[in-house]
Amino acid sequence: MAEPFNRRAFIKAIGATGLVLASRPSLAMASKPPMGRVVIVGGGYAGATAAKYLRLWSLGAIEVVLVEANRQFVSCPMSNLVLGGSKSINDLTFGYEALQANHGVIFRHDTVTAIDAAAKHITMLGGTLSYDRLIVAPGVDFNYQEWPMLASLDAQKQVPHAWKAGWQTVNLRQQLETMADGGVFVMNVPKAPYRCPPGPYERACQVASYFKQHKAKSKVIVLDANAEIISKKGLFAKVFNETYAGIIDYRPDNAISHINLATKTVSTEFDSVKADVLNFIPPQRAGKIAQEAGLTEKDYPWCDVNFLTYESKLVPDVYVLGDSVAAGLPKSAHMATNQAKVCASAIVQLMSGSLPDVAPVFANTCYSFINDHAAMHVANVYRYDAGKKMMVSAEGGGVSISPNEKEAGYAHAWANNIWADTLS
Amino acid sequence: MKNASSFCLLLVSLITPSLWPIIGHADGVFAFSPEQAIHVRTLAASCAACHGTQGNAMVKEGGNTSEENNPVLAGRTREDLLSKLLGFRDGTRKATIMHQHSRGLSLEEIDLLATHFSMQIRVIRPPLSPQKLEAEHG
Ligand SMILES: Cc1cc2nc3c(=O)[nH]c(=O)nc-3n(C[C@H](O)[C@H](O)[C@H](O)COP(=O)(O)OP(=O)(O)OC[C@H]3O[C@@H](n4cnc5c(N)ncnc54)[C@H](O)[C@@H]3O)c2cc1C
Repeated sequence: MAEPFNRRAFIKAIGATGLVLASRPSLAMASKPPMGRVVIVGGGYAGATAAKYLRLWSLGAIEVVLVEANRQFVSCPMSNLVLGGSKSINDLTFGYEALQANHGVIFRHDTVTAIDAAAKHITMLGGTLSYDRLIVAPGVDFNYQEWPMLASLDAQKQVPHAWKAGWQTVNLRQQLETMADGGVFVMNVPKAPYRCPPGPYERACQVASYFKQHKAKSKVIVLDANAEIISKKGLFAKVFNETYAGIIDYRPDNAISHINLATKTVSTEFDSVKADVLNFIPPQRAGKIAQEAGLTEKDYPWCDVNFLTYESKLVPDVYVLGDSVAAGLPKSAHMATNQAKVCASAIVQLMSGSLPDVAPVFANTCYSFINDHAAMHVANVYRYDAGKKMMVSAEGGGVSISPNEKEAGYAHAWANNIWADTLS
Repeated sequence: MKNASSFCLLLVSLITPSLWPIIGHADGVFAFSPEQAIHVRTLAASCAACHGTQGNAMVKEGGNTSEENNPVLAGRTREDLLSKLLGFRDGTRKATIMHQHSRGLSLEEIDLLATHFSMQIRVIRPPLSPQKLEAEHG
C-alpha cells in the first residue's frame, strides 16, 4: 500500500511520544501527580492490568500504587498442565519489575489489612496509604466454614486445593507422581459460581492424561456438586467417555457431604469413595479484604458493581475487579483483564472530568487442554445491556468442534500474550 | 470520519488524555469522536489476550507463525484487517475462533478496530521471561 509518508509518519511519531510519556516513571512521580492517586489492592490478573492501563491511558498523569501480598505472580491459567506434567510451575511464575520499569507503576509488597473508605486510606501490615480512588482486586477467598478440618495449612498439605497456583500445585503434582499405579485420584467440582468454570474438568483430563501415559491402572473420580458439566459440556463429556473411557469416572449431582482426612475418604449423598490422592476445591467467595471492607452485602458472597465503571454499589470511590465481582459471567483471567481495562478507562475519564463509555464491549476466549497437545475453546463477546445494567453475551459465541493441536498452539500463544499484556 | 483538519484535534489530543487516541491513516487522517475513541480503546485492548498489547502479539522464536505465534494486528493496513474481519463474519473466510468473535461485533465496531490496529506501531517483543517460584510465595 502506498504511503504518503509525512502525515502518517508524523502521526505515528506523535503516537509514539504519547507512549513514551506514559511509560516514563520519573515524569509523573517527580512532583505531585497532576490527576491524583489510585491505589490498587491485589496484583493478580485484574489488579496488574488496571495498574498498567491507568498509567497508559492517563499518559502517566495518574499515580498508581499496586499493593500485592506476594513478590511473584503465579498464573492459574496453564497450572493444570503442571499436574499433567507438560509444564513446570517455573514456566508460570513472573515478577512485577517490568510493570514498574515500563509504566512507572509503584509496587508495594505488602498485605492490605483494612480499608477506611470515609478517610480514603488503606492500612497495610507495613503502613498506611491515602488514595483518591481505590481498586480492590483480591481474587477469591476459600470458604472453609463447612470444612473446618481442611482449613489449616497442615491439612492442605495432605489435601491441597491447588486452586491458587503455587506450592499447592507443586504439592499435588508430587502426590500424583508418588502414587502407586492402580491408585485413585478423587477431586470435586464446587457448586457454581466458582473461579474458572471449565478448570476442574480440564484438571480431570490433565490427571487422566498423566495416568494414561504413566499409570494405566489408575482412576480419576470427579464428584460434581452441579447437576451436569457446567462449561464446554458436550466437548468434555465426549473426552471423558471416549479419550478417557475407563479412567475418568464422572459423577454429576454428587456434592461432598463429609471428608475423613485421616483415611482420605469422602462421602456424598450416594457414595463413599476412598482416595489415594485427594483434591478438594472449596466453595468460594469474594476476597477476604472485600468482605471486610463492606463491599459485599450480608450473606451474599460476591461484590455488586456498576458495570460501566466497576465502582462498588456499596462504597463510593472504591472499585472492584476480577473474580470478586458478581458479574454473572465466567470468572476467568481474560474477563478479569477486560473488567480492569473498562475500569481503568472509566477512571481516567472521570478523573479528567469526562464521561466513561456508555456501552462497553469486550471478548473472552478460554482454552482447556485435554492432554499435552490438544486444546479446545469457548469464545464470546459481551456487551453492556442498558436495560439490565449488566454485561450480557452477544450473538455469535461458540465452542470448538473438537479438541485439536492447532488450538493448543493458540492456547500457548494466549498465555504468552496475556502474561505480557498484564505484566509488562 | 476522514478529515484533514482533524490534525488540530490530534494535537489537542496530546494534552487531553480523554481524547487519545486520535489516529492518522495512510490516505488521510481519521479522527475518532471522543465516544468512539473511548469505546474502541477498551474493545481493542480486549483483543490483547491473544494478539498482544496494542495488537503486538508476542513472537516466540521457533514458534510456528500460524500456531504458537498468533497473528500480529499492529500496523497492518485497515483494508486488510477489514476484509479479514468481514470475511470471518460472513463465513467466506475460514476461522477457528474469529468467526465467533466477529459475529458479536457491530459493523461500526469492526471498522473502528480495523482503523485502530492499522495505526498501532509494530514492536517486536519476545515473551516475558519466567522465574523460579520462591518458597515464600503464599
Ligand atoms: C486451575 C485454574 C485454571 C485456570 N485457567 C484459566 C484459563 O485457562 N483462562 C482464564 O482466563 N482463566 C483461568 N483461570 C481463572 C483465573 O485464574 C482467574 O479468573 C483470575 O486469576 C482472576 O483474577 P483476579 O485478579 O480477580 O484474582 P487473582 O489473579 O487471584 O489475583 C488476586 C491477587 O490479590 C492478592 N491479594 C489478595 N488479597 C490481598 C490483600 N489483602 N493485600 C494484598 N494483596 C492481596 C493476591 O495475592 C493475588 O495476587 C484458572 C483458574 C484456575 C484455578
